[in-house]
Amino acid sequence: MSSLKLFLCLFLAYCVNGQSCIQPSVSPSSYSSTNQKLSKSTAFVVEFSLKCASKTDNLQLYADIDGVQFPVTKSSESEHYQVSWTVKDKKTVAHNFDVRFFDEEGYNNLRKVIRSGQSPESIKPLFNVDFQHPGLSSGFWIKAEFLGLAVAVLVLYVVCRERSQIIS
Amino acid sequence: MAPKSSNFSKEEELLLQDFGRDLTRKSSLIFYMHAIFVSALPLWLFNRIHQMELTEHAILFAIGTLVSTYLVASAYKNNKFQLKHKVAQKRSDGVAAEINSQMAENDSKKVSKKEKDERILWRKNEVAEAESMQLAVVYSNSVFLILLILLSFFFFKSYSPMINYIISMIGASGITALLSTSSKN
Repeated sequence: MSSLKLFLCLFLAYCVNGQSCIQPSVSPSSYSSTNQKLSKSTAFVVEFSLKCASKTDNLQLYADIDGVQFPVTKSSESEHYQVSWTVKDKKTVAHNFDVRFFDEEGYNNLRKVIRSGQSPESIKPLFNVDFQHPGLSSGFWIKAEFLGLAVAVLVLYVVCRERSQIIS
Repeated sequence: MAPKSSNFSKEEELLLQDFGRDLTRKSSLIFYMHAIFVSALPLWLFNRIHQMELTEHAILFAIGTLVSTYLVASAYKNNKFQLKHKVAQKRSDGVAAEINSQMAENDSKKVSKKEKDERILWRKNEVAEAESMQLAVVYSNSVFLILLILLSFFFFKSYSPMINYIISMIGASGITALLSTSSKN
């Protein structure tokens, strides 16, 4: 019976170690849409490749962005992870995002803390990624076709003046 | 039917040819080169802005460019014809003065008045030809491109790119050619 308990303990320890990441090494990249005219929402994407000292075949990650949690998707072929979300344009201003990543255990703790009304900042993430969203721009203040037309009209005006001087 | 040359002397025929609607081979070549260039320019707009694939619409683009080339070239021709007389009139005194000063520098006593007049006429024709061609090309190009921008980016922007191309190209070059036929100048 004691050997069975020992086996179960070892198995659980193996399972827990298999799904958590020790000494994570992250190389992130991020993207956010900045053109206000093209869409009504701003899209954010954070991608990263993760290397852990431990084995992480079934590692499930969650991202916490400004108090909202999103699941992180993993590439089936490599150690590439991605999380993406959208925000309505009106709510998007230039600011620095601190994206906090949790493994399953950390995520459960985070949910407990949020349910109990405590600050989610008290839970230490597995790692975090910072990125700067430059804010939205509406592009050039005059449309390209108007500019093209204005230049063409100016050229025509000069040519017509020249022509009328000769014809008169 | 009597031959045309029966009513005119050789000089008069040359003069008619110089100031007539018919173009020399060199002038036609210059006009068609300019016309094909300006007609092919919109391909860039339709390819990059209206997202029309060049290979996919190659036949349409070729037909559109050729039709537009013909119409724009005929606009050049008509505009040049209208302008050439006027340019010749405007530059007449200047050209005469230029030839006279050249004659004065050289030994002018040997040159008869008739030859001098011929030289003035030849030079006047040369100046009027070059100037009217330049002005006709710039004027017709400006009209064509303005019409094209108006049609493709304002009036027909909500149509499918193919319809937009057909209407814009034929419309812009057709109106340019039509405007050039105006005789009220």
